[in-house]
Amino acid sequence: MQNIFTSQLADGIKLTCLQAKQFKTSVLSVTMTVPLGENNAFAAILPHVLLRGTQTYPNMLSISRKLDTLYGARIIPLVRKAGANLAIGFIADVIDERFAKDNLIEQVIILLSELFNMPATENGLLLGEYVESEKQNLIDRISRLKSEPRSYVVRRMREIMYEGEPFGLCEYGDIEQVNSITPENLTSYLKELINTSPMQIFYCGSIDNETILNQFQSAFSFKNCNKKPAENIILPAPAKPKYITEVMPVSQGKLAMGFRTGIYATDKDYPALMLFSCILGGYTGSRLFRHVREKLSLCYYASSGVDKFTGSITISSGIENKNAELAQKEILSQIYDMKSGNITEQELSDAKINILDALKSMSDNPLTLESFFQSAVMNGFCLSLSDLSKQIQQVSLDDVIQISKFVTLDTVYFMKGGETL
Amino acid sequence: MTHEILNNIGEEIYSHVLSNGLKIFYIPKPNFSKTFAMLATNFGSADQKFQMQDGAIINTPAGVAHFLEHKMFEDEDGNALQKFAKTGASPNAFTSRNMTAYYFSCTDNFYENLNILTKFVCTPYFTTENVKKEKGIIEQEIKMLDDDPFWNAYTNVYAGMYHEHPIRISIAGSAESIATIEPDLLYTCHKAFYSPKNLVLTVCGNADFSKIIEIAEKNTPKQADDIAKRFYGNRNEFVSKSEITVKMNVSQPLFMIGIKDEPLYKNESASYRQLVGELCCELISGKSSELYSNLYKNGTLNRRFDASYTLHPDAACVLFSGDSKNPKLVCDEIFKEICKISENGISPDEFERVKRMHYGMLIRSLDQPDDLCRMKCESTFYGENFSTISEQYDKIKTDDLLYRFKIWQDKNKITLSQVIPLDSKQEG
Repeated sequence: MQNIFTSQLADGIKLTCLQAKQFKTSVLSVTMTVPLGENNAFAAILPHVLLRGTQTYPNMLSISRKLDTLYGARIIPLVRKAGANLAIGFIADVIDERFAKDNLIEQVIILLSELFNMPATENGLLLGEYVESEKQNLIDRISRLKSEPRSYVVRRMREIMYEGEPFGLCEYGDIEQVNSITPENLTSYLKELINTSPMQIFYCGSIDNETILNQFQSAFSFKNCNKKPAENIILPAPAKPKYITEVMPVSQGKLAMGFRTGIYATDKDYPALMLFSCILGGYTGSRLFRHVREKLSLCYYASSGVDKFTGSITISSGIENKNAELAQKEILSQIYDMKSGNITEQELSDAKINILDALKSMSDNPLTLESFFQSAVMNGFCLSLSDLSKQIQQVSLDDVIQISKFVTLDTVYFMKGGETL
Repeated sequence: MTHEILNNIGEEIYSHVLSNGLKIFYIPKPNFSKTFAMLATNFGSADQKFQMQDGAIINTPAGVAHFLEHKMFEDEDGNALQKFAKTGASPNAFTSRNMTAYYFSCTDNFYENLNILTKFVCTPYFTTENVKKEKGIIEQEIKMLDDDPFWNAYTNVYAGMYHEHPIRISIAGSAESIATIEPDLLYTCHKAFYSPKNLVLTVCGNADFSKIIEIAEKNTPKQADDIAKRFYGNRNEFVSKSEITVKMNVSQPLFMIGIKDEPLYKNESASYRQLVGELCCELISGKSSELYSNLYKNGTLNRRFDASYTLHPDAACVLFSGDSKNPKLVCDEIFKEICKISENGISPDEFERVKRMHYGMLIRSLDQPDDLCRMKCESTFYGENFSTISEQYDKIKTDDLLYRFKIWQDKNKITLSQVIPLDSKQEG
């Protein structure tokens, strides 16, 4: 596993560096953490407005041309939900200097700092033109969510499951919030975030930690931030599950089921929960793949996954309308069977091998590592891949059966294919 | 066995050809945790009509290459996916218009996994029952694709550009076309195109090359069948339809604009053409082009805009895709920009800038074993040496780009495929 270096650059400002000489490209991200809530639209629009222009590079064209000269370095707006918090900022990648003979990383870090600290302004305000155009883009993005059925069903199921809790909120806010954005209120929101919100910085690549630390320190003038990330408050499942069916003008029906477990990433039982979900629907050897797809030929995909911050299990599958009940029955009967203790040692060891392989494979992908570490840091978690691997190895069959008792159905959402809304 | 060291991009490649014709490559990635292996055949959805060695002409229903991809995993002693599940490997496969590839990645048990891969791809096992069962699964995959607006725009742009060429048909076919598939046909396709002569095995990660060769030799047939001759229909310089519009569950229109280019010429280098095509795309509408910047500024485009260049057997095209309230305007502006560049030429500064950016993209792809293996397989199918790819940046000439612009500068070569909202007044 990689050599991980962490450092506190000021109160609330955390740097995570992964030294990895095997890569030819470095990945960096700089994000601020805000609690999910009524300001989601303000938070989500910010990186998009900031990426329109800085004082040195006043428009998109000049930023893009600068990035071209840095051998096609990329800076991409990042809006990511994790637990009860939202990370907003930028993720960047750039090739190693050994292929370029230029101080590429340093220039990208300086550009990132400019995006946050020296945006293009007029009379001290973010430019009205940029704000208006990004408002429209954000409205379009929110409206477009429904056009992607496979991800939309899961989103919609979580919205129903977490009604009244932050986890169900859309990271882009809603159209009404977007409409209330002005250059004035967005500029003050930005200032407030810069002064108070926690920041996470991530680097993965071949450059040594000291150099990265110094370059960030000198490009950004970090201030102490006093705000804490929002806490994840996990509620139990309702006494009776919610069943909701909605009709969408699509040809294939889609099923999403949400379960609460009360077990999340820092719990000692979490590795057992990961194994439960993996045995159920985490890979091609899982029960959902073998039974719902291969045996009954009901679908092309049927899978299950755990959200580490809320400890929820989500199952999703694309099926014919007429098979909705059959698929649901089969999924629930597999879960019931597992809860009754009918999990074999073979199933457990196959699932272990698969999870361990996936955890080990993560070190080859800087983008996966970025998301893993940054999501944890922003929620105040300290996660280690090697500790997790060790814990997975130690889980017994009995542990999995014990935690299966906590897997409680919360919401069943079926998006029925049909003609009209 | 040959060993090449590519100092300029920091890679090395081992290669070997078995006596049965199978080409094997190994790209070491020291310090990577996983090892990736891809076994690909130069047989894709476009290879619908072909001639066997005995002279028989075979016409296959749409989607047969993809169907075969699903069914190859089946073996007499069980499904290969279930064998991989026990070793911890992550297996998968894809079918494109040009190729079918089977692959896995793993952090342990590499040779056992390679044994599974090479064995199942070379051992067809189809029964009436297992073929029938697969139809249910693939029908659901097709339905999932039918609901995907992007997929619709993508399939339709090819349907619009081409008259007879089978790339105009969706890779997976339709529920109706796959309904007729029987085990016999799958065996025929396997015989025609899964000969070791038509396969490339690429491994990237940490392994012993001689052991890779040993396993490949053990599991591939000693005698290789000849590769079937394929037919792609009559060529037509111009598009079949200039516009295809469908209505779907989308909130705003999305589009795919295709420009029909001339297929690869005799003895022309595929990788050189690819590079020329991609640099042209950058000049027309890349993130740092005036056109993209203007269309973004006036709200016609957003960040989901992309331009790409693709080579196919007996075909080549440019594709522009994205969301827009006004796809027709985007189409017109792209055409105008092509005419403008064609007339004004390319400034040396601009040329250097996009070349530098593109070189960065190449270096970036070297960190991704899956991309690297796919690139290596594709270049081998074109009979090219992947290792010279980075040298082309020094050789490339603006005249070669301008030549393409001249060819694209014709309205009869453009297809606009759009997916518009259901409640749109425009006709779908």
